[in-house]
Amino acid sequence: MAKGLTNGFSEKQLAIYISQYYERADLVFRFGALLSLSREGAEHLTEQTFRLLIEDFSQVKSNTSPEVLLMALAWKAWNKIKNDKFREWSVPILQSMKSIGVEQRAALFAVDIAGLEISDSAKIFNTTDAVIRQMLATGHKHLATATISV
Amino acid sequence: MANAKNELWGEELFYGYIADYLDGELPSSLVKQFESELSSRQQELSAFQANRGRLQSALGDIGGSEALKHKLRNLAQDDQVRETMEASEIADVEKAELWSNVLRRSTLVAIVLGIVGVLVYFFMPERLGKIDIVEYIGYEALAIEEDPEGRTNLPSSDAEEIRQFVAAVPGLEFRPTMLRPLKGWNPEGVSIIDYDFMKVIAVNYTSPERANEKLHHFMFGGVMSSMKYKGEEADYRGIKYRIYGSDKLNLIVWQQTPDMISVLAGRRSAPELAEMARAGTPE
Repeated sequence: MAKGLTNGFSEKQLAIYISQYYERADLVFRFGALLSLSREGAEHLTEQTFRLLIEDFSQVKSNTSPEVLLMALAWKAWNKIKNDKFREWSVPILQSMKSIGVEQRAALFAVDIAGLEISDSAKIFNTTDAVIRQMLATGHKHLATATISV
Repeated sequence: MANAKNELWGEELFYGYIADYLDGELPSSLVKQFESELSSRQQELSAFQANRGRLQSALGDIGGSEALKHKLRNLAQDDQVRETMEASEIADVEKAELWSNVLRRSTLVAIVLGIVGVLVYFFMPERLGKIDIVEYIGYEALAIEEDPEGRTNLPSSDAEEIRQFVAAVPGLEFRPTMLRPLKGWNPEGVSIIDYDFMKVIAVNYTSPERANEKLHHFMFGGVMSSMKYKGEEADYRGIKYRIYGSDKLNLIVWQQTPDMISVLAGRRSAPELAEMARAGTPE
């Protein structure tokens, strides 16, 4: 296959994949880390997310925000693997996040780490702005009241 | 995610909008309500700010392994083929760089050679345009007269012998052309003057009728336009000549052949010398 392309990629698609998505793999990895609180889980989630991306890559529109699409696919992937068991990652701040739910962590990541708008976050998690705001309130309260060792 | 009520209030509103407040993005409609909650929660505000920073920093420090990145990349492009292509691209770049180096070095060599050339041009013995060859010739004429034996390469009165000798002088940049026989002047030999920058041939004449007065016909390669000269050229029946003089000799210079300049040096006047030049040069 020309240029070693796989999965039916054209050269243009490869360029978009690399520059817009592959280069943002760490965003998904960090999201996975906060959801799974595990390095292993983060790696697994990242791989699954990109597999979902590849499956429908030809349908990806040029005006799609890569962050929003990756986060949406990552959430989709998470719902597939959330019952898998992963070894915990002994990073203190990740350990401290165990006390809030995964949905609250997801909202916290989308808004406070990835810097997405509430409305985009709502689309990612297929919910409303109010729900996101409520999830954030829980996550923020944890950060405001927990004692986190560094 | 679960459904929730549309509006927050009290503690939930405070935590829901705490980041907006810190980032200066709190909606104006909520300012009053938020600040009333804030008055009793200053400590939480500071703790939230610090811990949010820690979380952002901790997550910012982590990333997927190289193996994971490799796997992700391979989803779109076969690794082996890519590596082969990269190796090929590297080889192409190296090849291009090699040629670039060759070109750069060639340019450097050319520049160095150019500089050397310029230096040689300025420091080598001067060529015709830079020197006063006629002045040299004036001295040579006197020197030949003072020491004919020491400065004559071929002592001979045989014009044909002289012609053959002159024609066989090696290293000349021109084809020497002797004057035709001059009435009242007998050849007596040939002098070869070898400057570093050119060879000059002189055929020396003597005139028994004029108490063995001397006359010298110097020949050297070049064109007159490249010689220093400040005066006006004279013309005698098609012989365009320049006049140089000293207290002992007169000299006229003319372009005898396209590649040869001639000088007649003697004690005759310049017009007489020009007449002799005319007589000795086919029209």
